[in-house]
Amino acid sequence: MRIDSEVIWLVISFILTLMVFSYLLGDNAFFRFASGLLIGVAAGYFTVVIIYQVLITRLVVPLMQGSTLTLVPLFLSGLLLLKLSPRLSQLGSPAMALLVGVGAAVAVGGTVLGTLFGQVKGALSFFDPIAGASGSMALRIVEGIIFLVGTLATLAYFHFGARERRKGEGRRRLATISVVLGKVFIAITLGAVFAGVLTAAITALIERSDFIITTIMSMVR
Amino acid sequence: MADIRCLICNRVNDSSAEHCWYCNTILPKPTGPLTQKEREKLANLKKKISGAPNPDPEPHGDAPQETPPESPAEEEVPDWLARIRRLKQAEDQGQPSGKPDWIEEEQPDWLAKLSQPAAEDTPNPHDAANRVAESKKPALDESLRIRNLPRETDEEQEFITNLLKPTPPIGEEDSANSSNGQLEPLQEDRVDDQSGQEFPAPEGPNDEDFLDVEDLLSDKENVRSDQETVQESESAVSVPTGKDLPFPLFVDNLPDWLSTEETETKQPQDTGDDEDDFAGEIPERKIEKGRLPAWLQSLRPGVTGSIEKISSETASIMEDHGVLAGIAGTLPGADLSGRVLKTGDFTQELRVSAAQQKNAELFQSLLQPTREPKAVSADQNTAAPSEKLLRLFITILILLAVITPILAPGISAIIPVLFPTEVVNTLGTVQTLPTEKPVLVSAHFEAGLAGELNWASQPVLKHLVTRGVPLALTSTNVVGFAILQDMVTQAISGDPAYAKDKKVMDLGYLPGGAIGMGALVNDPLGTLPFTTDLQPVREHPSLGSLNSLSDFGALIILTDNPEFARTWVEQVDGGEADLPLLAVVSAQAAPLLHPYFASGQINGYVAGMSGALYYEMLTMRAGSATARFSAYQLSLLLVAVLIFAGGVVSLILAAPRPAKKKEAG
Repeated sequence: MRIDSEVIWLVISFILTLMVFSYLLGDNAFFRFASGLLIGVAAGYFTVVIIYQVLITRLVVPLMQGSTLTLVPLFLSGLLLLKLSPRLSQLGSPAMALLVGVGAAVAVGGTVLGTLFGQVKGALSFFDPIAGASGSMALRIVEGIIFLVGTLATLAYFHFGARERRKGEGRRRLATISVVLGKVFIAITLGAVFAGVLTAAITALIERSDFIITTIMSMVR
Repeated sequence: MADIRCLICNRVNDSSAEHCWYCNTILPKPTGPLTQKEREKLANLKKKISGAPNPDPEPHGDAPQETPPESPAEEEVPDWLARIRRLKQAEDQGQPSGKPDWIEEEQPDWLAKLSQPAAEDTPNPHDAANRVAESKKPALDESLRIRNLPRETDEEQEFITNLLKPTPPIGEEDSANSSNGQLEPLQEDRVDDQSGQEFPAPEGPNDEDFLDVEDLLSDKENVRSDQETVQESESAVSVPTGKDLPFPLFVDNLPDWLSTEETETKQPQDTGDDEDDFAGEIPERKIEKGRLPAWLQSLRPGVTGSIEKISSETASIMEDHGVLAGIAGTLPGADLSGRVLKTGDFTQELRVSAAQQKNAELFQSLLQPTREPKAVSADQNTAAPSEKLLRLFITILILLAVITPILAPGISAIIPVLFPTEVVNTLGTVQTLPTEKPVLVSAHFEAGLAGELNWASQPVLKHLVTRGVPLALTSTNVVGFAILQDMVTQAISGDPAYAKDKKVMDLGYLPGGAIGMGALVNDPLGTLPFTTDLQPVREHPSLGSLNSLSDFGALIILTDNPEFARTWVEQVDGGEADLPLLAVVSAQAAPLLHPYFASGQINGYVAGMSGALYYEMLTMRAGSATARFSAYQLSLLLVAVLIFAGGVVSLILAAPRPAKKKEAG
């Protein structure tokens, strides 16, 4: 009897899935074994991927092809390895500083150009008659107003600089309304995020349940 | 001008100073020129003392005034002075002379001039006293040595020195300029300022004839002899004592406390013996230590001897060894050669204060190894049995809601009739992609949500495969890279016409996170030069014309993390690349990704199982999402009901009870 490798992997997947599902009954050895196995396999796979797809393709091959520019990252990588030694860890600081500085620059630049400007432009586009020519202009304006109010109210909620005028009087009415509106929009956002997380979890459960049932059905047949 | 020595701190101050620079005590003002009356009194006094006037007792051999003594007219002599003169003449006639022999022997010519009757000269009585003391110094020393009188203290001598130090009259500028320090060089070499002619010093006593004032006053016998002489003259002349005497010359300038002290010390003046009487005239007893205020006593230097005495003592000492050998005037150190020091008895017991003990305990606690963290066992379920049953019941309900639609295909789902814009736009974008350009698929997700992403991405990938669009796969995390290959393989499996080897390029793992993304946007070939088979990307048939990111037909992001999607959007939107950006994301990332779609930064996205269902419906290809959508709807409905019911129950249970409120109140 010839056993297909796909069947073997199907059985292994089925068993591991049951082990993970056993956590519904509480923490047990099966769940721990499955978790440990996942972590170990992932770490080993990560190492293999780093060696074959990073070191060989981006370091060894260019060096063998005579690329002297590759010596620079090689030198910096060597300095980073010195971080392991307490005495020589200072030598790795320049490379670490380069990494942190470049990463921060890329992140900040992307945030400003991609998110800040992009979102402002997107909020204004609701009130652009040319951009809204394809749809109902009134509907777009209403949608834009909701966007604008939601944005301002959320910002007002996180603005903690509003102070009470006098003792017992509380905030001004406009600030109070903005804060309340901000709370509403934040609650809606968090509810949507929670619904998305719940939906994702339910989908994963359905996918695994379908896999188990399908596997059992295929085995039975 | 002569300096003024402070009565309190005994330090020298400038003559123009009114207060002592060191202790702020009011300084005695230099006495002005004596009045005619006072001069006459002093002249008579001198006459009574020795029968000869005294020269100017400048301490450093100052030249006497060359101006001839003015002889007052006979008619200006008061009655009392005339009476004194008459008595003097009677004494002279009756007694040859009251002066001792040594006075005659040592009396110089200038002194003989001054020994004329008082009508001829009106010298300063202060000077008279000094000169008498100088002239009588050897004999007085000898006589007092014989008497063996008790010596006064150094402090008293210092005080007397300060008091009897002659001060030049303010009105007599010429004589003042020729006194003290300014006169000394002139005495040695007197040159007329106008003619430059050297002229001899005026006749008068030599330096040897005068005693140094300090020497004179440092010796008690000299002063005492003066006192006796003056006392005799007072008794003879009946000159009123006290305020009429030239001393103290600075009564008005004395502080209040010292003035008061003066009046008090005058009481025993009348009843005491001769010495006390003289002491009443010279107020050396007026500033006794015990009478001074406490604050002044504390300010006074504790040195019993004067600086001059110390310096005179040290000047005679010459070092005979050490680095100062051969140098005189050094301060001698204490002779410790014969001094035996014993160390104190120190016990070996360690004395620790309470604060030190506390710090030591704190330090010890810091040095102790930290407690090993206890492994938190998941078996430690502290929930009540009823709660366990509730959890189990809810779990069974959800499993039934999931499994029942799968096992019973007859349970149909409610199919939506409206399609979200993002899915429609995604479909339209994929549908219009050019088939010659590859689509870059970038994955970044964890294994836990691989099933959801697999279901969500399959419609899109199948659509691309159906259209024959080449695919370039990459991943910014290792797990995503592994699963992405399986997803593509699964999508291709349904279309055997799609040549995987030619149209699918596995570019491998893209390290660096946001930096790697930015590098890929700017330089795709430099960032991903090789495929996982170590083949150059440029040699691949589908990527032969690849130079920038715009050469890709589109960028499709597969992720369960909204941050990853946002980073891709930022890098692509901020770069120069111009290509459609699509996303296949988990349902949990959809709310945070939608603003980027609303702003037009993302052309479209498919989120979760519902998005896959919409895409399958639009492409009219039923897939896993369509098959399991009933289970999806039922389980979500059940979960929503459970959440609502749990909220209501929690609201009821958490409501405050009126009875408890009353008790609390």
